[in-house]
Amino acid sequence: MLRIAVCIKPVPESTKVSVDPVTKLVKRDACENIINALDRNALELTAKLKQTRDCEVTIITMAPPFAQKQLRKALSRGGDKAVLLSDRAFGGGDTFATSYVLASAIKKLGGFDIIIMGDMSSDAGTMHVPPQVAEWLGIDHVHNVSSIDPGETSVVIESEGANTHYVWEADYPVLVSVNRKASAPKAAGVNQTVAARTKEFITLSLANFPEIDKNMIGLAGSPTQFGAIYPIENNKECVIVEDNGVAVASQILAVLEKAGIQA
Amino acid sequence: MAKELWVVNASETGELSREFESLTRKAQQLTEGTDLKLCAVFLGTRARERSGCSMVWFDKIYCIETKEAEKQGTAGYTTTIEALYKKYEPEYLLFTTDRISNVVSASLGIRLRAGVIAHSNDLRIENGTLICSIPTYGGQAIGDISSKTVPQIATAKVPTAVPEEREIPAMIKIEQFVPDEKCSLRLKSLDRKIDDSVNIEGADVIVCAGFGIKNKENWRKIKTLAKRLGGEAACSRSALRIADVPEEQYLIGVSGKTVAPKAYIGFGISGSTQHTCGMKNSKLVINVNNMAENTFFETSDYGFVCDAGEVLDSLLKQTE
Repeated sequence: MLRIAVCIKPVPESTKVSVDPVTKLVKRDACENIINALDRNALELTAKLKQTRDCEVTIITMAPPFAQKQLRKALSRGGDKAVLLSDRAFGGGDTFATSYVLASAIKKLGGFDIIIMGDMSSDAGTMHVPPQVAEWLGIDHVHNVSSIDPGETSVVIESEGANTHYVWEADYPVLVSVNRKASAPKAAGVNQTVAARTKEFITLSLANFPEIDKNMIGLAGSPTQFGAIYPIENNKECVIVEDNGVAVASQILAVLEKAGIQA
Repeated sequence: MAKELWVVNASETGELSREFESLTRKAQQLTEGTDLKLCAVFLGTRARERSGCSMVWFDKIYCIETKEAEKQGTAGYTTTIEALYKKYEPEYLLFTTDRISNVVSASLGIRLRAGVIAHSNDLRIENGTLICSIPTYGGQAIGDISSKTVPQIATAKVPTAVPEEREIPAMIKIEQFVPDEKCSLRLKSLDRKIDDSVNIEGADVIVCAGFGIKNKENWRKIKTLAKRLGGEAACSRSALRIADVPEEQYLIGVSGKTVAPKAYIGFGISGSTQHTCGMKNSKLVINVNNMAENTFFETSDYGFVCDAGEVLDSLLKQTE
């Protein structure tokens, strides 16, 4: 049996988020949260694999307790059990501290053959967490992955680069971070949603990880730190026109012509 | 020994990107009037060619020409730069924001137990601390962020600029590629698709799609319009899914390309900082959006409140 871990991140649904003026962190519970877009691709890729392979899928996230909702949703898309890593001490971590906790949990749960994540999150968008988790675990990582084909002892991975298509073979365990070409997300059916309610759900806090170095977690353990935050200054004076399509098109062409650009 | 600031270029191609040139100019400004030595690291195929054509910009260049790095995914790049770091111990390591650089810098951070700051818009050094400006969550504000660890590592996409040439060219040091012994990846095949028809970085006119274009039909119209205006079509991140095009070629923004066309025409662009930092040097910015409170109007010269599809139809009709 293939053991798969899928790491997901709850992200704000809208780009309109509020930032706490004191901690300078986003107020994650002040807005509606959804599963990060590329993590949905990761879930769908796993759900598809499950149709043809014998595999057990564990969904993992590090987030405040509200993330139970996103984990249940992920369970309805093919997950067998969910693990919520939640503790005030984990909060406010940068990618270094976050990847450290995720890797500690993956190690503790143990025995995964493939760890799948979205390539980047839609809010912070650093692309750091997948390679950093792989580094903590000391395993191989392939980014920008569009498909995987797991075999008995190794897995074939297809990935994209700058105008390049790569095909790799990797030994287990391996971490792949997927792009949007990896299985388009689908909504779960009613039966799957109902089934998800009774699936195994584990919550782990700092107390479950006596081996964790407390100096490397949360806001205090993050090597990068926010200083001043200031609003974006735009010094352009915009001419705003509200009109119908035909009139707007003529005006755009006139403005372009003035700038020396003609169709 | 003088402390060093490195600008790292890990690439499988020979050409230096505009983004790397801009970062080099920024690094020149950071080191000017200080005792920091400005160094470049070129790693990958044709690293010698890149070293040769940029030697007038740096004090020193570390050159590792190898065809082997790419065969290990990013592991070989990381291990080689880790070894080079341990040998020379630079104070600062700056990377561009392409995918390889992102992954390599992030991995390096864990190996060296150092913080890594992603996607900086601007950089400055104050009392030895590298301070990076980055768009914060949602792109509504800019935040200063720094790292309390050594070395200080950041990826950055700074406004377009050309490096200044120096009288004394850089000393080039040839270094060895260090393969990652633990890496199990085997490259089975590699297929390079060169598409010269898309060059958004060099285009005079860019017609850019945002999430507000809603459907692929409007993306086709944007492509036709761009062609008629002698320019190129591009996307914000949220439009990539709708257009279904590769981000390596079409994405403008902090994790995509930086452009500075004579005219930029945006359709349905929300105006997040992640996008605007890739196009704010455009001379003329025209913005079409049906939301009158759209924040992108603040970055535009002309804002038209109208449905993007409707305007595209009329523009195509009027340019037939």
